[in-house]
Amino acid sequence: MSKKFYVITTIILAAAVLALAGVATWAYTDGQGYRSQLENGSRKAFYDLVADVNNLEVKLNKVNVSSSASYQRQQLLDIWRQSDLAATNLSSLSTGNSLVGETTKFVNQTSDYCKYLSDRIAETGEPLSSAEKAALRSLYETNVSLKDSLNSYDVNTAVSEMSFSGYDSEGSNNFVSSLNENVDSSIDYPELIYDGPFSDSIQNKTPKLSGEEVGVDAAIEYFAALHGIDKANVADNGESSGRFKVFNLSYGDTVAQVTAIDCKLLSMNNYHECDQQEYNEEQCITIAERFVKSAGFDNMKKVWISNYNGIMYINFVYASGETVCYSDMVKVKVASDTGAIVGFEAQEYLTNHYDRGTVPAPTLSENEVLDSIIDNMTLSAVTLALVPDGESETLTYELYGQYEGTDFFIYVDAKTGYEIEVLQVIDGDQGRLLI
Amino acid sequence: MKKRRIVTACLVLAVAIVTVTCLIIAPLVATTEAVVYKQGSTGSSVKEIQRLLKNQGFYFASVDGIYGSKTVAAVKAYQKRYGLVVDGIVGTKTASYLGISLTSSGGSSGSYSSSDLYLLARLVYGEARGEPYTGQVAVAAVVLNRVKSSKFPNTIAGVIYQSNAFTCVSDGQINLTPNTTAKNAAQDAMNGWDPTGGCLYFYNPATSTSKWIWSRPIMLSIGKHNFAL
Repeated sequence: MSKKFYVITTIILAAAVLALAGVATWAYTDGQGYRSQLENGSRKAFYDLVADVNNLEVKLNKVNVSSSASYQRQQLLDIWRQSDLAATNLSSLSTGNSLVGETTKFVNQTSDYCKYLSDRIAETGEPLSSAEKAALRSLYETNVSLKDSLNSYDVNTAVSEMSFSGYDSEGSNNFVSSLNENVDSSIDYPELIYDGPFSDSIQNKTPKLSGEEVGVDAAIEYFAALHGIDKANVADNGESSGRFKVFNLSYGDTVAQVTAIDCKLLSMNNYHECDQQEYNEEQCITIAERFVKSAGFDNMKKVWISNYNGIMYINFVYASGETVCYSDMVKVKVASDTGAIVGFEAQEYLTNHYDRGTVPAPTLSENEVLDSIIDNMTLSAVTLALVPDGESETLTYELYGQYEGTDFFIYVDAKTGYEIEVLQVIDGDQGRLLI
Repeated sequence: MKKRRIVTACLVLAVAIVTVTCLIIAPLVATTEAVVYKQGSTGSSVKEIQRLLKNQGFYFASVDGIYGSKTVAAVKAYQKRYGLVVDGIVGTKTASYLGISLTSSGGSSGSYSSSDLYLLARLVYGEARGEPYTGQVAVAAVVLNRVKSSKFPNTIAGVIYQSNAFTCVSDGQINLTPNTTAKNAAQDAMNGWDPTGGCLYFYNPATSTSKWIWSRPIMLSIGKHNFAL
């Protein structure tokens, strides 16, 4: 009897231990498989990145010795594509923290700047100027140091010495950290000023908002008056300083930010899910117009309305005479069930608005522009519009029309007659969109 | 008696070892895509569920993609008929009986920007679902600010799936189905609402382990998150 008990006990324990060992071995091999897959992904990205940077060096050099516009343009477009690839490969290596952020910025700027130059050549037909070549030369030199840094990771030893997927306790990748230390910090990146989205001047834009700085009491008074409520009901939630110094105020469920300079409403939100629609588009526009005016934004013209789940998104821009200025935009959300303002945003207006004086008259007449559009387009409206163009603005004719059942906005430069943007209107689940 | 007790103890021990092993291993083995459809869910997958239930004679209302009480009743009837757990929720098992696989990409079909919007809504839901509405818009705005910045990838998917950028991507919470609030917050951010004033980072000071993040200038805090440039 007793022997049998011991045998059974031993068998059960042995089986349990074996099962445990089996599961552990399986989990380990499985984990190893995933790990090597991950590592191989990073390795591929690294090899591709090295190849991209090598190609960039050659192409940047070729542009510098070439003097013909068409060849330069072709190479610039190649660089644009190649540096886009490099940026993609960098992002599959890098971590969310700013590691390799500077390198990414360099690669993105190279891409952006070359695109800008190639557009410029296409427009003017002129080959690169000596200033532009100098900027490209400095990009070339930076690229050489980047290439040297990357190549100093002798790929064979790098792979064995450095675990690509090894993460330290703070979640950063050992390989990326060392890439960051060696590449990011040792290279002097040039500062580029040009009209493109990644230009330093655009990225670090300072607001044009001017006026007197007010205290929190004045902000509360302004906010209370706007809502027709007693200022005792407005809660002061302190200051914060993003692009603007603002006072954070709230009233019930409504939270708002009012700028210290010039005391203007920067943003406001009151979350609301719509029920049955009670107010139509026209009524919502009137409500929004009234609100925008009482918030202290004058000469605003409605340019866009879109309905998303019963919330009307209405955009207004500043109108200088007959010309609308797209940089100076405020956005209003109106709930179509209650007719209440549930959102307001004036970031773009407060960043870009300034007294432009009188907008110069267009060089081309309306008829000259209309002659150039394609035959089957039915025009519904023509407006003069100032559109943002990097740091400056371009005066355009905005042509709104239909082509084969689809709505389009076409922007034609009022000086040169070039089309600078074509936007398509899409009606979908998310209301009306522009693409 | 004593021996019997030893055997019992050994049995308990053995069971305990196996259980603990399973408990430790199970979460490592299980996929994190815990997608279920229940009352309140919306989207194309819900439509698909309704369509299949209708074809099989369990659902009679309109196929509208909204998981309401009628859909719950239909799912319950279906589960009862096939001997499944009657809970009115379409999980992996019910879904496999229905003949669909529950993938996380239950986004609305259509244009490029609408899938981007859905991805952004999933990030907001995974990262900030307990936060006030403005905080959710702010998280979505940070993603879009990164897309615009030269220091980050240039697409929404690129920014969201950048390694280690967001915890909800690492732990799989991004695959949960977003609610209406998260979708509206993503939509607002897409429409240009940015309560952060251009911030590129956010973190929860109570749980953040990265020392580096503390060195960024803090611009404002909303709910549990600090936002930084």
